[in-house]
Amino acid sequence: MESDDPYPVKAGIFFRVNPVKSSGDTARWIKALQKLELVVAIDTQMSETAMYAHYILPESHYLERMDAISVVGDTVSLRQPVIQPMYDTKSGYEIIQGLAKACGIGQYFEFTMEQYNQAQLGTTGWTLDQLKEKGVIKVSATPPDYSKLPTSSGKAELVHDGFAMSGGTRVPGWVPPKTQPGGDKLRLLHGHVAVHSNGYTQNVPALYARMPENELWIHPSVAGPKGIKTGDLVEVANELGKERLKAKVTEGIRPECVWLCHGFGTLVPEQRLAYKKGANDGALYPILMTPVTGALGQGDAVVTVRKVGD
Amino acid sequence: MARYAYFVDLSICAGCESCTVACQNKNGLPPEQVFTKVHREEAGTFPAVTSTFVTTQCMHCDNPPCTEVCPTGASYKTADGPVVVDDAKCIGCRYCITACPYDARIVDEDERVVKKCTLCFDRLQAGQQPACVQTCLTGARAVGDLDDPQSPIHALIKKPNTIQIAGTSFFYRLPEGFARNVLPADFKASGATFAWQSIFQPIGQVMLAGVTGALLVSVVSNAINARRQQQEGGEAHGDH
Amino acid sequence: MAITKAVLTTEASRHEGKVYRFNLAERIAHWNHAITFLVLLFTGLGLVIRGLSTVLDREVLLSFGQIHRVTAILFTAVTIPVLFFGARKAAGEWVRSSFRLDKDDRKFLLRFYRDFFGLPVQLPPQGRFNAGEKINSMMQIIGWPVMVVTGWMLVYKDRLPQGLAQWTIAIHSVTALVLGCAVLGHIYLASIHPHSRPGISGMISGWVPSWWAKGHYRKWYDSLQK
Repeated sequence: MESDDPYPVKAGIFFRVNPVKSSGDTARWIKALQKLELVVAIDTQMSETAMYAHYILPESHYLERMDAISVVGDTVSLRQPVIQPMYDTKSGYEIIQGLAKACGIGQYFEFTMEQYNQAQLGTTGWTLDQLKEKGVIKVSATPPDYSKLPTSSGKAELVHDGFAMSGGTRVPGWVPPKTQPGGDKLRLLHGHVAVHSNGYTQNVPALYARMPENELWIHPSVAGPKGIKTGDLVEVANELGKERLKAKVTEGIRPECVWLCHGFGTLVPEQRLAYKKGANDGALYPILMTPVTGALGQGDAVVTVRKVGD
Repeated sequence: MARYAYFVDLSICAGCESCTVACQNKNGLPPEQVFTKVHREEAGTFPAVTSTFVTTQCMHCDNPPCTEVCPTGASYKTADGPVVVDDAKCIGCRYCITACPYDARIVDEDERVVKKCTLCFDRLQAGQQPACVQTCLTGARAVGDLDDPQSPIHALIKKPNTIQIAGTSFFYRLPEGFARNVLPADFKASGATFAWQSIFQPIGQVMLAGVTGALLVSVVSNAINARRQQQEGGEAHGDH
Repeated sequence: MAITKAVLTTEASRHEGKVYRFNLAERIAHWNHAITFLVLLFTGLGLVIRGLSTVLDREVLLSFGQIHRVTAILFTAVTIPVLFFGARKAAGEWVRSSFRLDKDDRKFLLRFYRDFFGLPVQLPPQGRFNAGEKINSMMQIIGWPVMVVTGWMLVYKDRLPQGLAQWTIAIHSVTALVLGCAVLGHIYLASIHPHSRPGISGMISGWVPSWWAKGHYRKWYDSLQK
């Protein structure tokens, strides 16, 4: 998006994702989105990414919609609506179907989600109505055959040309991270807690009341010299951004690291409860693609920490 | 008649607080008011650190001090064990809050009553599980009838590291690395409550009755005396 | 004392055969204390006697609680300012003398039960307040701050440390019961008991019969003559 390389990107449709909050370098994402001619967001609530959309297509909440059946091994489960949509929203599929029709390819989407799921269940002998009643069913399935893996040799391969082609080496080797803790720099770690889900439940009143903001976990040996006690307001900063949140002094963190729970520091004023509560880790780690797997290098960031209040 | 006990296996509690929210939902509580709480305990120094979640709520004590101090009898212990509040009798005086050793009660300012966990007494009577037990994602919570030999509760409370909070209906299974002190304390009767309920109040009532009795005797004996003086002639001593 | 004498001389005709015992401020302070105390005792009983909830419904008990707190403001804030501005000297004397029991007072206390039950007795001469009144006064002077302090603490009882809250409840309640006993005796003696009830006019008009003052408060009566 930034460099028009290998080709210019003019539009982006963001479906149930919120990269501005959750895909690193918030500031960089915002700048890039502002370059696009068309930004469309499909989401169940106003999000940091949706704030920069030209069009928002509000999706029905999961309790209001039927999704495609979910299959894990021999277990099939169904997400079905328990209430009618409360507001003017559509399910994700209905949105896709509507867009397809507007683009002139509606003929490929002339079915309902019910019909789609019924068709998927066809070979199992179960009907959609039965699945609706049970919610989760076990179907007969061919158990996986682990005696032969889907590789060229049929075995697990620890040496592979593919690794080299993907930006690594034929035998995966240690690639040091771009940042290292040391001096006054601490590695920034983040994760999740059981009370909230990723970056989208912070504004739910019942969950907000359980955990309204995140805290920075910091080891006593680091907090002590900085005069930081649990509950003090601290500023976490690196070249990508600055965030403020309360500190939690704990033995449960490596002394050279700090940790915070992902999903806070909401920038969306419409999320009236969660707005500006806690800090957003996404503002502090870089948009980095790890070699071979292509995963987001979220752990590759270091920060300074200083006390700014009691 | 049953004898309900509550078992929580803290070694598998995930700290998700679904129990808290399910309870709020069932009892119509706003997000800021809770009957059941979850907090995190940590032990050790880095790198040998361990943590656990601990859940607390009304312990449904064997001899609840809250029912003892309640002036209207609104707070009472049911025959099956759960301690409940009858909203129709509660006058919101909050004596029970001062008496509860486990900080289990809240005030509903709008209805002017005090509320607490009822062990989902109504659900138990309907053959259902309490909301927290049904919701618990890891199956850490269980309620059972100790007087029912078939109840699964018997096997649960025999699990290793299980401790009963003495004087209450609660059993906790402690995770490795944690001592008894992270759990709620054993029930201990309060000296002040005992002094007021069992000593001062009865003595005070006896005193009041005694004084009233003495006054009545005085009225009678003075009347007799006045009449005797009149009969003997001369001025009555009364009004002199 | 000077005021008492002046009133005696200027209003001699209206008050022939009477002596002035309590001025307006003393009477106002007394009745404020008495009425607010009785209201507080009555409404407070609802929180102590469990059986009351079976005869009084919830709305009544809730209103008892509200009346109790409003009345407590008057109980707390009126008595002392009235005494301070209207009868400072007399009130000061009263407080001091209440805690001084001389030989006559002690003899009085030992013999009073006979008077109480109408048996013949010779009671020693008393000052402005007899020994029984001094005992009651002691109880009021000590009991009032105990009730006021514990009472206002109880308004915030769910914010106090629990042990403190529980003891505050116990002290507030037991002191109320003790003062309740005292008030029962006091009201009986002031209004029913034949030997003492003539004194009630002292708390209404301020004046009491001279013969009664001379017979029951000899040392005070004599000091007025000087």
